[in-house]
Amino acid sequence: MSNRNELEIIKRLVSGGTHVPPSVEVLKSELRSDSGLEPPIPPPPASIVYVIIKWKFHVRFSQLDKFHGFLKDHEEQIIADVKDLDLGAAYLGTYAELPRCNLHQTFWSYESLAAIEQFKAALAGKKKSAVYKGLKQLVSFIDDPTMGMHRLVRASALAGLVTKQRKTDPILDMFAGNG
Amino acid sequence: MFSQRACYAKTRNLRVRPVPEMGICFVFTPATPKLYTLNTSAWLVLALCDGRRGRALVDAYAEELAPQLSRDEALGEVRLAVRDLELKGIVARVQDHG
Repeated sequence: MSNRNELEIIKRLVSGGTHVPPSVEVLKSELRSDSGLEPPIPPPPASIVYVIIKWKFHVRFSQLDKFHGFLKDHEEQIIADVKDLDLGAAYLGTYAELPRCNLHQTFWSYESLAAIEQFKAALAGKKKSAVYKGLKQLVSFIDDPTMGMHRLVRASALAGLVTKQRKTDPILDMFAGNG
Repeated sequence: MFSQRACYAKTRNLRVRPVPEMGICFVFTPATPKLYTLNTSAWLVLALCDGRRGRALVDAYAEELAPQLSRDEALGEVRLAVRDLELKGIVARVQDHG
């Protein structure tokens, strides 16, 4: 956009609305989610694990032995119960970070983005099921304020996506053009 | 501090991405680095910072916003806006090449 064209656009905007004094605000971080890459649907061929969801959370020291004991007794069953739903979702386990072991990460894998929603819907409709009760018990150990959730997608599925998406996403375009 | 005698221009390497459909523009300052949202009025001030003097900047701003703003009101808004943009590293004083 040339400076002249830009100025013409601004003039039209200024003349068309109620005047508001100038404001320059730091962009709030929540916009990150508006400007991120969205993986294509459907996933690339031969994809076994397409999306990984990671929960990262702390468990209070006073609850550690109880939590680890719960996992020892029930984790295999949770794996089997999730698999039995046959929705393309899998529970991959909960891992403790050494050496203190109070920070944990739970991994889930999904064969497609749709599988995430299907799994959620299945759980919502089976609140008396063993899988729901098992997971509810697992999350009851989480020290809520510290919990984080991360969504990882197969990087190969994003091939060429930046070039395509920056055409319609000014924020992404800005970052992608930086160097 | 804004001066009507000084000349103002965008800083080097600034990245400006207009979003006319929302009436705003995004500005990225690689030197800091930070991302800013400018509303339409601030965007107008920035666009007018093309090396012209502060006085001409106020005149142009007042002209675009007349009759909604008097020149004195325009001066007040431009003074605050330019100072803010200057503090954020979006515009800077430059030598007069005219």
